[in-house]
Amino acid sequence: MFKKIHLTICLFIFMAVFSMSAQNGTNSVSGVVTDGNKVPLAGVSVVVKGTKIGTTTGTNGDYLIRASGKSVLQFSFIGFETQDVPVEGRSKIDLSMKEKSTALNEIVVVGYGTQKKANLTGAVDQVTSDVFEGRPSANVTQMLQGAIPNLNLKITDGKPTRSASYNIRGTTSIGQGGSALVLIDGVEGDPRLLNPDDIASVSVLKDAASSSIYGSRAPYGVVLITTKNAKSGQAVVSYSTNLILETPANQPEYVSDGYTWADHFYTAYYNYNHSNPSGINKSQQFSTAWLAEYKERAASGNYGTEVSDGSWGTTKGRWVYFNKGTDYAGMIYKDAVFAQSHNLSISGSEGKFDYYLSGRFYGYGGLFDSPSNTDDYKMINGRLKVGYQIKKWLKITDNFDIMHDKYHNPVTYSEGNGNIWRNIFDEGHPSSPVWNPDGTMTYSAVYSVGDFLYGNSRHTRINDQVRNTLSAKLNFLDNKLRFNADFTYRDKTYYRQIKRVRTPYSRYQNKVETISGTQSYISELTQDTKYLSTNDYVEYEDTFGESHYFKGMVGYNYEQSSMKNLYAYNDELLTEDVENINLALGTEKRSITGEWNKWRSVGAFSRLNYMFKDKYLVELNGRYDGSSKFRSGEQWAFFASASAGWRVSSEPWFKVDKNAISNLKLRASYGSLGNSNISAYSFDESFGVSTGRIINGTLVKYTDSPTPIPDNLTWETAKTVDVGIDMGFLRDRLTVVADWYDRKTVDMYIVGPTLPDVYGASSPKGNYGDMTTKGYEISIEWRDEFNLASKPFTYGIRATLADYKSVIDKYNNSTKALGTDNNADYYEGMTVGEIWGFVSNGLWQNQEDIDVAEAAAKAAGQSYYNPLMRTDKKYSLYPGDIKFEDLNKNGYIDRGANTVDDSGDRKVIGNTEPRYMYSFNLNAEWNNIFVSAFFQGVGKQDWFPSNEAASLWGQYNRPYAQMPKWQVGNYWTEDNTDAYMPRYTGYYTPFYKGSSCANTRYLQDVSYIRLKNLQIGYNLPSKWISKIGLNKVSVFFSGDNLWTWSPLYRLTKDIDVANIYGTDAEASSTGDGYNYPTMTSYSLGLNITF
Amino acid sequence: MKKILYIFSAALALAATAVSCDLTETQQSTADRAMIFGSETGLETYTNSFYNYLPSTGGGFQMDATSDYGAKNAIGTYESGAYTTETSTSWSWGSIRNVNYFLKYNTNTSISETVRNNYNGIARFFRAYLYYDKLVTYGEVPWIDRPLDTDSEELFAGRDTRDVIITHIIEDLDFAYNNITTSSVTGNSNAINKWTPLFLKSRVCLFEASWRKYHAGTDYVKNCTIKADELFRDAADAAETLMKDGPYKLRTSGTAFGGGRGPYRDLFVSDNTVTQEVMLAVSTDLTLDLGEQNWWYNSSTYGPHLCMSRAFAKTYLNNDGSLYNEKNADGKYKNFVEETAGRDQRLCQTIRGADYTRKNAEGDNERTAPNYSGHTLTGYQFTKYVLDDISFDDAATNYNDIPIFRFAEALLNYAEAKAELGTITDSDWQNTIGALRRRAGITGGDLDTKPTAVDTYLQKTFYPKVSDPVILEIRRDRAIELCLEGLRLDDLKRWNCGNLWEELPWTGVYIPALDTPLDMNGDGVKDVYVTKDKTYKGDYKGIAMFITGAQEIEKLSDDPNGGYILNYNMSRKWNDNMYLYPIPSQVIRKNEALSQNPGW
Repeated sequence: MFKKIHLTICLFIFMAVFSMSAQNGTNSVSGVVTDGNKVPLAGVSVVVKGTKIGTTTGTNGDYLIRASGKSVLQFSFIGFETQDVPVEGRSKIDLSMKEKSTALNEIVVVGYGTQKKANLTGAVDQVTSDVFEGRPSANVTQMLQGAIPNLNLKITDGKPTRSASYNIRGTTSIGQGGSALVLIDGVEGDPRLLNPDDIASVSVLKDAASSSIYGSRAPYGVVLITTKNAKSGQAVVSYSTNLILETPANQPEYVSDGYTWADHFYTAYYNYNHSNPSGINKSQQFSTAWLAEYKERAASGNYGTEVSDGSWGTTKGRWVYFNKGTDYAGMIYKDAVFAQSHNLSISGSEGKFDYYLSGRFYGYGGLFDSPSNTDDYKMINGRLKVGYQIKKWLKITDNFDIMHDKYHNPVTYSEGNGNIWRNIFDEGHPSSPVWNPDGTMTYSAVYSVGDFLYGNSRHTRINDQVRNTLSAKLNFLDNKLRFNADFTYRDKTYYRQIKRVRTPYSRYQNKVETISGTQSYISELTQDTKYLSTNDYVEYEDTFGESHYFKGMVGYNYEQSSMKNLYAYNDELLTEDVENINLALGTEKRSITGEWNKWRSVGAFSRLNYMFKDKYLVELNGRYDGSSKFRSGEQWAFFASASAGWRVSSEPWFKVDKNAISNLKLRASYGSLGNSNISAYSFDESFGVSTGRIINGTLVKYTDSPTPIPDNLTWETAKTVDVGIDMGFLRDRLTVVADWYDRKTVDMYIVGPTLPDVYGASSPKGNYGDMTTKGYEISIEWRDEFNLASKPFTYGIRATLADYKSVIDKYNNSTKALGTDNNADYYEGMTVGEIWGFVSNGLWQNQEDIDVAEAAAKAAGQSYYNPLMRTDKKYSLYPGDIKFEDLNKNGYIDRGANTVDDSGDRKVIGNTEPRYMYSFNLNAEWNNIFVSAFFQGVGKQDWFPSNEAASLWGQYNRPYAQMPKWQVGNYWTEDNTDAYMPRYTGYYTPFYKGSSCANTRYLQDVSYIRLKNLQIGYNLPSKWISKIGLNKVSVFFSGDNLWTWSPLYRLTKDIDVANIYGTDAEASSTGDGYNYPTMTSYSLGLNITF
Repeated sequence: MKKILYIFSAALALAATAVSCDLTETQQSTADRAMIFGSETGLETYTNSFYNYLPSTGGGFQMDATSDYGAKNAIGTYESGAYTTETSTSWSWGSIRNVNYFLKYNTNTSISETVRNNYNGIARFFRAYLYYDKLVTYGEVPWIDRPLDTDSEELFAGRDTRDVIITHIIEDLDFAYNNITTSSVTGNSNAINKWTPLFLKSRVCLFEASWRKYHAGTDYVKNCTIKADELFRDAADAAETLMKDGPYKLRTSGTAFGGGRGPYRDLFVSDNTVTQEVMLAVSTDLTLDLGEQNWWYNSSTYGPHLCMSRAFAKTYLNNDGSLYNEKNADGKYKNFVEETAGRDQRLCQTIRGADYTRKNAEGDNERTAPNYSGHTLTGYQFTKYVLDDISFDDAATNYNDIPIFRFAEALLNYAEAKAELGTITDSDWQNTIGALRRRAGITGGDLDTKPTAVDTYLQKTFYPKVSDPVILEIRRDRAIELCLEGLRLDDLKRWNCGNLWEELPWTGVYIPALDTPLDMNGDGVKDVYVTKDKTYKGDYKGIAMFITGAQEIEKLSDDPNGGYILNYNMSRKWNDNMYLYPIPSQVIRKNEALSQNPGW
């Protein structure tokens, strides 16, 4: 694939060079090129148009070039508009170049308005539609990942529906939590449901000063998504499409040879139990005789399925398998998934009327290789934006959008919540085939992949959303006074149907069964959220006496949201094909439940901007906020912020050459914001109703004592200081923006002071916790162009780096007790995310060393050296076990009092929080060819896989789990003493108990770098396409997640490094890595505009 | 400029009006306190939460997993003596708070006092139930009878004496007995009635009385002033009232034993609770909530393979009431068929005997020997809670209800309390132990009169300090009748016999020969091939029982034909401080007024 692309590029370059025309009669032209302020410009490219003759201006801005009197000179320079100047026989041409609207003049969307980037005083970052163009991803969130430093989006798996909560600048609160407020055209919304092609810009307000206009809705930043507006003039029709092939980025490689696997199963089982198993978990019978027979048959290739005559330790009549091997994990995926997106937009204006109309279809064919039950996904978006200029001073706009999506997710129906990956680990034994000789399904298969092969069990999720915003803009006094009012109504319905049906299988010849305890059922959840909001504000801006610029704004905001849902469950489906709950006949288990909640918030806000001579910039914000989520008396609060900027480079005394330092601005801000992004009713004593025991044949409902709530609760507050610097060098070819921040989240709503246990409930929560998060973001951008073969070659590199670290300042944990898990309970001075664990420098290599350690432990009054982690049923240690270091030298392994000061043999060995998140964005365009590459990654992050992370631990977790191929020959035996894994044992406590036994030896480094997106494309020359009436046609290749590297991959590539966070979110069931794979996409795209 | 000011003022005024609006929203899908305590339905819904404190459908049948007579292949930290005050964490008070919260707020006078007191009675029954558990586990604990506030003094109180706790428990139970209005048997015995507190009172008082008697002179009773006899009398009185006035009686009719069922076994494998005898049960149900009794007692991977020890099996009498002798007249050890024939029927209704049959995959009843190669460690495989159909074995699929309180225990409590008081009569004996033995098919021996002879095997193996033949025989029947019902460890604790946990050998069945295919249950099918050769791959490899790991086999020197006995060794440990759990160190760190239990 890459080879082909490479070839194409070469061809293009060759053609371009070849096509250059010959020159005619010449004389020389010279001159000086300056900028608007008569400052000479060095490095300006001067080309005789249509030839390969070119030069660049010297340090004084002068140039000399050979050109005929009839030719045209083309002057181009980064940051300036390219100018064509006909020579017309002259020999001296001086030129004053016009500055392009540079980054500094860029308009940035801020809260309730826009601002020139040059005038920003807060920490605001913005990306434009470039981020979304040509991307094969399913939704906006997936495309935004990594695009803006410290906008942290944790996409945890590869499902097309997967989104993430929007986090800005790290840990927000360990109490009520809180993510960024996401506003779509000024109204709170879910970006996942948005058409990516509708987006004009995404602006991120990072510091408190910038976001404080949104008050308590935005203590942890704001993401402002603005959709495209109508273009003025003739209708422009634009169509774009992506045809996409996707494959899992990582395919786990497990041992699929049946005997090898079964043999390791036995070893792992025996080494822990010291007895023989009689089954391989539930679905296959086991005896040593069977294993011995299997060994012989494997050696001679005599595989097959028999019917038991009662020998081999199997029940008479039961199928007995001597299977060559089944790769259950490998059989569930298609080789490639086909996906496509189509987007059409029409935009233009006609007199007083303007319009933007768009529609998008995204379809995803489904990854699971199942004839009847694969996953598939569809998303449809439509938008109509119309504006009408009623009067010169009044314009109304209506912005209407509609969306629908549907995801069909097959699930298993054997155990747990239907997580296929987990079920494969539990029962997908390579030693069992999928089918019996008579065509029935085997027990192992029905427990694992059965529902995918001919089942009908699935989840279906449908979202429908209709939203309308009607807004009016009024302006008076030469547009100095403006009124804005908008009113939004949104109705969002979420529908989820779960259907699970019993799948037949056979354990005994001539006997078909279904998994006992299962019922065919349908459950339906219908949830309706109605939301309305209005924003009304008035602003006035003017300049007084030339140098005093003033802008003031006052506004009002009201929001209301109410949610209601209804859940129904019924079983005993009439047939397996039933699709409606009405045809479920029902047992006593049928159930109906509901949920309801409503919240309202009101805010009055004001903002003042003042600028003196464009040098000194000041902004003040205030907002008085009310929220129904607090109890009366605590519902209202006032929050304020201030920010200031100083454009040093505009000072008269700042005499540095503009070519060297073109811009220097210092910024600082401080703001304090309350947090109302909490769930409604958190402060009410409430009695929920749950299902209890069976009493006289009925499952009764019960309620019990409510969580104790104290009286004096108030808002959590985030106080943020931000210091920033904006710099431009070499006429802004190089720009640097850097921000450092310090956010104190105070009065966090956390557990109360430790109470003696007889209290009988967890200590009532209250505003007890403080935390400091410090971090920074830097983005460095280089943009330049030069002539290559007399055609402009423009390119840019943007690199970003972001980091944060949170430390707990105050927490109710006087003894500094640690949790038993690796995630310590919080305590003062703790760094959020720290992993407590043991130190291990290797494995025990001989019995003598163990005996010495055990003797020392006995001398210290202990029965065992490592009483915390028995690696078999006898608590014994064996050569090949992990050797933990006795850090506190007390003779045995312990957790001490499990406090920070007496942590036994544990210490901080790592941190789960990502650090040094970076990205590189490279792009270049030349002669209608464009290339862009986007790399993104994490510089430092640790992971200790949880106990259920069997995709890593394999049979060390449970003997009957899958065995990762990389473990073969990589575990300790007497002949292989420097293996990575310990002696081969199931239920291996340091792994089986997972993170509570975290240790340095098996701590994984999950930092990574990823080529998130690569695009290579070609704009068809306009002389070709204009003939058929088109304005622009481009074809391109675009790929997502094309390449990743992580230190983890030195060990295994079975799991994608960004896909380590727990379990499939919909079919929840514990276990790291039991997840939909991250997908690599290859797409061919086409854009047509006319 | 003026205009602008006007407009700004107008806007501010508009904003200010917004401020005056009330933003209070109340939840509609959860209730508030007034709704719960303002109606009888509310009270009932609240008291339903207390039933969650009873053993669960997943745990009600494994409550004797730690008992001297039950061999198993996994030993917990406590059981192996590795427990420390730092590892100890289980000191939970949430359930007691939940009950106290109910008692505090159940005061709405729009509901009649009788009704309120009925529900208070239920609440106080459960408080007694929960405190009894605390008493057994920790001994002295603080008595808390109201939901505490964050500044309540009781938070930092020390431990109350056993006298205080037992007195309050009795008060609660008496209140419950006097105020609960239901006196008839409840549906499926799932709910409590006025007799349930009476039953619990006999259990609690018997425990506390024997604790005081058998731990006399130790630190365990140093603050006790209430005399043991007083509590034995309370236990006997409670049981006697229940026997006299209550609606329960022993189930004696039912299918005669033979097909694996009988009046005794029916109590544990019935779809619907046998409410005639079972006073409280947790229900499992085919559609609502499935149990996992079959899975736990038959799986090769799930559970610790709990099996009966031979040392205990020998205590079952012959069906003529005589003592069992493990040897035949010719000096040969009895084989499994001989051993399980002609015994107290409860033996073969508790474990798989030689005539045990199960429904196989084809649906036919088939003679089934204990599963030596996969499950059983000793050869005595429990069946008490197990449905005799293999199709229930692989997952949580059981529907049979699990008894929690059983009238038979009241008879045993009564007999023991009276015997300890020295006031037991022949008629008492006949109505209690005699009745239980009759139901078990015993036809002779001590059925109508108190026993007079000491069984030296029983005495020597289990209770060497007891010389009273009546008490010894009551203990024999208590262990047999209530086998696996969650009382054994508590009995050992109150009798000061904790050492049995460490010392009672976990012996297995008699194995006539090694490296020989054996038909254990006499149905002509070879059931097991016992071998020490781990690599054995001969004809009988399918039924091979490899002597591995913790299993040992011992050659019997006194068997003329050279048989063997299995012995299952695990690192059991009993230290004298283990009669009570320690108060967790982290609990004491939070309230230094709490003292630690003896020996920790």
